[in-house]
Amino acid sequence: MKLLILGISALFILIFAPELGATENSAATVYIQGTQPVSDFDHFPRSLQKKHLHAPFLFGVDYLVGGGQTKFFGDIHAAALGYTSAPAFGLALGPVMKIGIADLKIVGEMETNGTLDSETADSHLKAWRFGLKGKLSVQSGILLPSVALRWISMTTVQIANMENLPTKVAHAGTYVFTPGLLVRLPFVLAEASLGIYSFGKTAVTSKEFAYSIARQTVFRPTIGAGFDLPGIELWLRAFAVYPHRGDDPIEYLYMAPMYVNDNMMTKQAVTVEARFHL
Amino acid sequence: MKNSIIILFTTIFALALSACSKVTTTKTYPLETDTFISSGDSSNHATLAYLNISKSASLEERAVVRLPSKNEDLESALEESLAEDLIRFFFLPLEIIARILTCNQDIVSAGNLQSAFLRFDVKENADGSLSNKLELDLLAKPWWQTANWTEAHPFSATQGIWNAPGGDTDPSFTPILNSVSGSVVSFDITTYFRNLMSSNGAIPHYGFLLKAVNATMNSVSLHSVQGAGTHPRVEATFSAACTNQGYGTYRSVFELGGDGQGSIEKLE
Repeated sequence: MKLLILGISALFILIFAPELGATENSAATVYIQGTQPVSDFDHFPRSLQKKHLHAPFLFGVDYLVGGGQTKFFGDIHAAALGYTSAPAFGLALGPVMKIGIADLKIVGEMETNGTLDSETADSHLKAWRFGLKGKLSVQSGILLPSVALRWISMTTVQIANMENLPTKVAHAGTYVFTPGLLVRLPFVLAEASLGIYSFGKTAVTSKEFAYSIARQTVFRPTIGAGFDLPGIELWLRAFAVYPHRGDDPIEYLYMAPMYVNDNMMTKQAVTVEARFHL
Repeated sequence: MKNSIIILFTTIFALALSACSKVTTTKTYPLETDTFISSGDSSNHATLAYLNISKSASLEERAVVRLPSKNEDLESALEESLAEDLIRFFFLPLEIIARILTCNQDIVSAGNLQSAFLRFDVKENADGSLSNKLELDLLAKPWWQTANWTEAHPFSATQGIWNAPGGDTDPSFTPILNSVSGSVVSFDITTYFRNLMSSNGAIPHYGFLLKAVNATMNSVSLHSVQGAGTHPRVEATFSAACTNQGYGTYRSVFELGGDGQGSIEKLE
């Protein structure tokens, strides 16, 4: 599986990079990321266990190519979970435009949750996500504020077929607003951000059953610290998830089947990331 | 097959010319989902072929059933059959055609409802005569097939739990006691069914709860939706006088080799 991930990553670089490695007009970064849960929600959706909600090991490549006022950004990553028979993948592509001292990045995003094993095959976790993200971030100086807006759409999935009555889970659109601040000192890095998620109304329906979960706001603060070494950045980040209706984690977890990148299904967790600049 | 089609349409044409009078027809609505819940067992019983009802000092079993919503499956089968697949047609007995084709108004409406009975076939009975031993209550919240004694559905930690273990019922609904005819247990739901039809979807229907009336009752098994016998069903009789007459297009579609239940539908 690791060979597959490396192969896809290499293919991605070959397609989008006219020259490998950092040049005046391009920059590639390979990153690996591991997450350790600190605390979990105390109730889980049907057929899921605690381990199914933990964030996976992640391997990815992002790339910036082009010069002048507009560049092109690409990212591909793969996530490996012990209970998936095939890894999950994510892809983000789009232009980056220079506006004064800031960059405006507009990317289309796609995330899968991989092929799930038999335990979770009939769960809502198999929903794919498609989205659009706009991020404005200051690029020069020590304090680098940013603000991002995202729209995410999730696919409708079937979770059961008892009595010949298929039951499906569907989601209305999710919106995310994320202000953040990056501090870049010689050798030392720090960041803080607050993800404000408005998860869309979620419906669980069959021909003879209907239950809807009202839209709810979820806060996801993140703090991080790191080292900026020659050719490599090392990061340690901590995040927490606070649903507005915190007394009903089952409803929340049905709304937010996002365990790649966003890691919304663990209450608190710590992430370690290494970013290698090629 | 071809000859049968010709005979059928010849009959339809002849009946269309006949005089019109009061029309009565009985429509069967097969239930599509049911299960039973037990105070001593939280497992999923939805796909079992029976519904258990019993009561003792240490254990109680109750059944939960739901009237079907719009019968989309039958609609789909109807459309497919009309398109090209004639083998899917099951020809109605001529006396039924005689009843429905002499009137082109839709008599399947709340105002024309004469009676509606929720019926179950008894599979096994260890309690002797069942008359007035079962009670039908109206459920007050949605439930899914995995319902058990404490949980109506698994999609919410707060809203998926029964407020009263064993099922939340509507206190404004007067429980209905059963009657028995042979091996069929029936509940007269005429008033409720009429109100449900009149509401045109405005009144939510979460289903019914069946439980023992007395303090103790030996186990009674009813054929469920998955049962080998006749399935749980509503039999509703509608009656009305024709205000005009002529050719009306009604057809009943059954899957050949299916369970023999279907629905009379007016096409135009």
